Amino acid sequence: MSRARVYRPTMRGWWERHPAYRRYLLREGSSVLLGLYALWLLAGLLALAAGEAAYQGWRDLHGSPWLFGLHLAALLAAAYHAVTWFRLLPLTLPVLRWRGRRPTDRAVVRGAWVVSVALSGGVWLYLLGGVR
Amino acid sequence: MRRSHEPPLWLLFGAGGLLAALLAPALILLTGVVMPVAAEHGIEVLDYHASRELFARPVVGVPVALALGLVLCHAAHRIYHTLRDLGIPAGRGTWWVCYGGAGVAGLLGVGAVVALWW
Repeated sequence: MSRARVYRPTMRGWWERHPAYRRYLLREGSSVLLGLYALWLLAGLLALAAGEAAYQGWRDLHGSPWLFGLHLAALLAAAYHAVTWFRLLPLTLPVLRWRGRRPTDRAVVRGAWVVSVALSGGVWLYLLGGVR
Repeated sequence: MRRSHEPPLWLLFGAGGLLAALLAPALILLTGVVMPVAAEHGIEVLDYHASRELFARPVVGVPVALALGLVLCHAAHRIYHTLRDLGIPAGRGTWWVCYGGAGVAGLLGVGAVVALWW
């Protein structure tokens, strides 16, 4: 006797079924470029510890078209990461109170962007030596 | 029941993701675009002596190294789980490569910063 045929939905190719699934994959994929960038900065730190020649070599590599292009791709990935991360912030944050009231989701997202711009500006000024 | 180690990993993932969202675009723009373009015009941004002086400060170097480790934990978490979502068999070995690699990289960064103190 043959076994009963059971319908088993498969998950194969699930990303082809909806644009939101592809956006999800794109979001998760942005972490690959972010991770590579973090590793590259780590290489820079190690080169800095190794000495002037090593660090200068690391810096000079940034002029190569390949690495420049990779950095542009990483910049896009980081921007996409930031947009998606802040958009989800109202869902992932614990309940916030501001003057006894809960801020709207919109206010939370805007606040995150304000913090991001302020921190980024501070880091730029600090790294470029404007503030010592 | 075996306790899951997912919650602490999720915390590291979240911290790294938040850090990356707040700062990564500005940093990539600075080191990946501004630095090489400025160098072509003879302006040295983040040159050896300035960088060394900057990162040898414990209040700068150590947090930067730890932040790199956190962002790598974030990437490790997403890469590991996305491999599984895609149906690619990712078992203990992949788990160790992802999270272990992030941890080792973070420690390496701290080691590099500590080496700057001498």
